[in-house]
Amino acid sequence: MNAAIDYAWLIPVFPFLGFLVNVFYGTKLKDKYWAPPIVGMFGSLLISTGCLLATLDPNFQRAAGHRFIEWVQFNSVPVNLGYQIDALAAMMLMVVTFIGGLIFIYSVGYMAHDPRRHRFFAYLSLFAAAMLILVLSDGFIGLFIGWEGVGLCSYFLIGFWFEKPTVRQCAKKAFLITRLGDAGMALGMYLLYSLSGRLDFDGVFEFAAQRQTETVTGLIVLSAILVWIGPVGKSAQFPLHIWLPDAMAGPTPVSALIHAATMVAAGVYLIARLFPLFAIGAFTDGLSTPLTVVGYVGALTAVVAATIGVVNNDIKKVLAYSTVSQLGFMMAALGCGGGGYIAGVFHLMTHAFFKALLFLGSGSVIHAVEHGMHDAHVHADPQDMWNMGGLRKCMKTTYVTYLIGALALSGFPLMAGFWSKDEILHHALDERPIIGGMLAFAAFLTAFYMTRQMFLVFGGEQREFDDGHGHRHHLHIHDSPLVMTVPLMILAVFSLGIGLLVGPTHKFQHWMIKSLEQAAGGGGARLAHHLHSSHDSIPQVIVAAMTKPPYPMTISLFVATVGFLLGFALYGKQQVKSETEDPVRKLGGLHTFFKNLWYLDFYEPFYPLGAALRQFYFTVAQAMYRFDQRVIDATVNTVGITGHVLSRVYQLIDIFIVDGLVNLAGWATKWCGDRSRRLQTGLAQNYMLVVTIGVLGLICVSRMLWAGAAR
Amino acid sequence: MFEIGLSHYLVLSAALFCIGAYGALARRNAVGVLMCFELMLNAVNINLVAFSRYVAQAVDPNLFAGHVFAALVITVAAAETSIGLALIINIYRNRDRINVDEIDLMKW
Repeated sequence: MNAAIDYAWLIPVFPFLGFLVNVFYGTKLKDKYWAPPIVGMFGSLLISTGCLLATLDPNFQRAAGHRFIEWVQFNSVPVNLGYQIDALAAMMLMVVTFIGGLIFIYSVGYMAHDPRRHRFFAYLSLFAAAMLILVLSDGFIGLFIGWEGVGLCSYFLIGFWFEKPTVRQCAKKAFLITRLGDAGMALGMYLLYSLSGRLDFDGVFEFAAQRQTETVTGLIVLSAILVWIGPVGKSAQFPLHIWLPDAMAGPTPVSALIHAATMVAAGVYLIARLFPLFAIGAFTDGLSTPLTVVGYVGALTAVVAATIGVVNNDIKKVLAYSTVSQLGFMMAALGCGGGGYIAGVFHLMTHAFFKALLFLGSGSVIHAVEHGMHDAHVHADPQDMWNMGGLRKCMKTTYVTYLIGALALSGFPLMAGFWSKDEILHHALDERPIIGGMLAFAAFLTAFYMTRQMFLVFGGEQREFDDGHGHRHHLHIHDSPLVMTVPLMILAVFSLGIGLLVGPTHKFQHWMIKSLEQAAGGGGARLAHHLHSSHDSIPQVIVAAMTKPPYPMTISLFVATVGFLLGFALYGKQQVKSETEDPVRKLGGLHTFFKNLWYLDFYEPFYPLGAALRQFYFTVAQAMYRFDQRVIDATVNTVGITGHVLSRVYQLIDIFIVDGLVNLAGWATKWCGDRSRRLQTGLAQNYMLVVTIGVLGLICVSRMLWAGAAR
Repeated sequence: MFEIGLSHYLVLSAALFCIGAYGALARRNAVGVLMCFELMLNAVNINLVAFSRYVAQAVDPNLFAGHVFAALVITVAAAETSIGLALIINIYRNRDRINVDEIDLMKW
């Protein structure tokens, strides 16, 4: 077996060590605060690369059952923490360690002036460790540990600038809403455990594939849907997507790392990992119920988020809604089963690259605009796109890389997003035309809002600001330092090139199919067989590509082009002066509807209900409090006092009787000793006298006895 | 004229012993106490020789065990006195006195 796979358990260990060092010695590291996490991440990247190379070997066998801890036993079934490496895990490891490492490096520049930067790096490191545990795990328990770990780090990092009250609330919102999903996931896990008695993926898959009775199958479907609620929270699916845009309150590298490239992808990863479970029933009696749910909700998410993204003015929030929308794409693709699985996973990977690129680019823009505003003493929102414009001239590197990211996201031909999105649309239109239609509409909106953003931020002329003295002038904006732009360039290269893996060469499909075949329980193998029938070898693939109906490719090209053209017509031909002239305002009521997030930020309408509930709970709590005080506490106190009194009595007995006897023995001994020691005068003559008298006495006694005996 | 016999020696020996014993018990000067020990030992010697002469040699004139024993006692007494004097000198050097009733180091 490959050495890298044997040592794969080290992958989460390295970032965790980085976390420990930064937590305990962070302040002592001074300017080297970034070193332990980045070194740790580099170590993980090396091993991950080894694992990736191992999986690329055509003779590679899925490495599972590497147990490193036998944790607990439930009903004599051991629950192991183990890891497995297959193509899916290797791909995800690369995404996390490679993109994560670049974002770490970028953060060195972005957080350079923050007083708590060492802590920031500690959190990043802990996050990476948790995410890698999640990816590597071969069972629900390990996965859940990583799952909660990334949630916790997400909370820390969103609330990193906790001095601002809004930031605190955003962090809490993100934490609570994702917890809501986790509760569902935990229920699903319990149900699966109570059905199958296993918590490792292989065991669960084998059990699911047996399909013992109708009832059991139904319960497995139910548990799959419960488990899916976890990803709904974590991967921001409708209607729990509302936390993700608010999570943009955190520093931008966090948005890039957690809320675009990795953590939110964990939900998609989970569905992909559990695909044999979700696909129960697929390919024998049509598409499975869990996948249907996943698919439709994903498509709905894609559309809802895209419409909100169209009307948003905050550079990061547009990207956030686009993330939600793209996550919807991935879920919808997975929900289409079969080829959609490959397409969804592939989109997961390409999206990680270009969304990290976009977020880091937006961070670079915000960083620069903030400094420009600060220097010019202008007080305005540095994230509002209407305060930007014309940045292509003064931020060349950022502009070019951002353009690549935007084109990739919009599905411009030959870029990463084009191949994966085209693949998704193709399978969605084949398998479920309704989902396909929704996704095509979302893809059109994606192209439109990215064009809008590009023109608002980089196009036209720089906007002028009033400095408070009646003078209007431009900001002096400089491009970000190399430590920030180099990661942008690397990500841009990958955003350009990585699509070639799936599009023309089909390397990715074969890699993934082989991995699926080896999944336990046969579900994956059936699925792989299904896929093989369409793509067997590369020549056949080419034939299939030539003969497949041309409409999906045409549709994806068409929607993207329409989006681009519409965006250009509205924003590009002539610079829109201010927000009040924003063309999307012409949508009227729809604009208000989208602007208010479809009224989905759903706790707001519930405020009166919440207040009533709070009053009710308060009353109940008060009653409970009185009961507690008067009944329970009184009982407890009586018991306590009785015990106290009894113990006093025992104390007296102890002191006077038990201790008294013991003391008496000691005292008597001492008294006798005191008396008898007077005999020792220390005078030799006294002793001699006693001896003499004693001898004389003995003589007398013996004489008398002898005399008596003689008589 | 009467003949001096065993009982005369025994009486002399008893008288010497009693004088020695009284001195050993009653004298305050440690040197005096030592001298009284000598008296008692010599009383014993007289006893031994007297018994040897009148009892043992009456049976077998070649028996000299009593005489030899007396000589041994004299040797031991000399050794004992020398150790005793050494002790007294040391006590005198350390405590400036040799009265036995003032030396109570063995007291509790």
